[in-house]
This record gives sequence, C-alpha cells and structure tokens, in this order.
Amino acid sequence: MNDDFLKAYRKRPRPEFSETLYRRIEGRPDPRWFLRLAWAPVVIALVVIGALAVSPELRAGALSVVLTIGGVEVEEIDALPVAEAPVFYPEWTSLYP
Amino acid sequence: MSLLERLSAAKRTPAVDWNAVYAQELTRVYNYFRYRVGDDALAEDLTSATFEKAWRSRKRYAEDLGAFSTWLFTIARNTATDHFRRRRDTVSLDAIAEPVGEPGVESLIQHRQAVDRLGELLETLSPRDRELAAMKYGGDLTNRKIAELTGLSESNVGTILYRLVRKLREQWEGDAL
Repeated sequence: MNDDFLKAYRKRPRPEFSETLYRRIEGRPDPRWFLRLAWAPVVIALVVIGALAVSPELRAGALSVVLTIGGVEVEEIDALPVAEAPVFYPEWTSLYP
Repeated sequence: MSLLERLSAAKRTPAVDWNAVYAQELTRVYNYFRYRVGDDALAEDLTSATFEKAWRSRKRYAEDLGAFSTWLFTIARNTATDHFRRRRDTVSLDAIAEPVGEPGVESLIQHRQAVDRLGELLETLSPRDRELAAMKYGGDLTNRKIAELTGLSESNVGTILYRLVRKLREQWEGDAL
C-alpha cells in the first residue's frame, strides 16, 4: 500500500540546532567525573595492597625498591668528605701497638 | 571469552563514525517527535533531552549500533511520555509544514493545505496508533524494531499499521476528490 503521503513531511533538523546540540553533548563534562576521580586512588591502593598480600616476590621487590631509595637518601644525607672519616685511614690503625 | 580474546576482537572492530551516527539518529528522533507533538521547537527540546540522556553512554553500544538505536528510541519514548504526562495534550501538526527548497507561492499553499490535512488526519488517531505512525514514518523504524520497543508482536504492528495507513489513505484520497 502506498504510504508516501505519510513520509512526505519528514525534514532534516535545522543545522544550527544540530550543531549546537552536538557541541553541548560532546563538550559537556560528565557530571560524575569527580566521583570517578575520588574513587581512583582508593581503587589503586586496594589493587597494590592486594597484589602485595598475594605475591611474596612482589613484596620482596617492593622492599628492595624501598631500601634502595632509602640507602641513597641516607648516603646523600650522611656522606662525609673522605678527610673527615678517620676510621678509614690506615694511619689511624697504625697508632696501636 | 578471555581478556586477550576480547582485546583482539576489539582491535578488529572497525571504528564507529559517531558523526554519521549522530546525523542519522538525530534526524530520526527529531522526526519521531515532530510526528508525535507536531511542533518544531518542542520537537527540538525533546530531541535535546533524549540525546543528552543517551549520548554520553553511546560507546557502550559501539559494537551493536542496532542496540544503540533501540535504546535511544526507548529514551525518546520515555521523554515523550513524560512530556504528555506534564502537558496532557497534543499540539496540532500545523507547525510541521516546511516546504523543501524555495517553491512558488502556489506550491507553498498546496503544501500547507496538504500538511494541514495530514495533521487533522493524524489528530484523529488514537494515542497508540499515532505513536506507531510516529515511529514508522517519523523515526523510520522497522516493524520489528517497533515491536521490540512497544512489546507488541511484529505481525500485530504490521496489521495495525496496515489498517492505519489504509484508513488514512482513504480519507486522504476522499478529500482530494
């Protein structure tokens, strides 16, 4: 059955309407973005804690990283000039009989 | 399906041209509302409301655009229902008259008369029939999709639309004589 008479009145939306709506729905930030942002550190922390709890290798690796970083820090803070560290001088030991 | 399989399947899926999808779906949703409410400005408002609700989540449907279209029209129907609940009335279809191109005065008048008459005919339909007509001729949906959206069987949709068109056509041609 010919129903063209019912289709004849479709029309395209106004270009201004189409463009304005597109800009609005594409450009508007998701109002829930801050919730996702707030959850992100919690999720990351849970994943790290879970991984450390499950894997001894990971714990050992993490510990070595911490110690390495700690060692560097200590060395940098407490490092003395060679001349001010008498315990390492051969002359020091030669004073004893 | 494993994560690796899903990742490789996602790689094989061609990128969706969302601009094209937007242009196509916007026209369909917009015309669906025009056929239902008969007012351009109101159709724009309702179309905006529908897309604002749906568009942000569109990427969930990137691998099944048919599902996206169905979902979009579900939102459009709900938006229309909310509107009618608030308004409790419908507007004449007078406002949908907009001739294509730049016709002469005579064809403009003829077009206007035809649209007026079509508006009167659509006004005589029951709310259910008018919605089906809006989905079919405004939204350009298939009978199957209309059946999915309305919960009617596909054959039932076809029968209702057939009777509806026959009735409108008889009236349309009767007026022309």
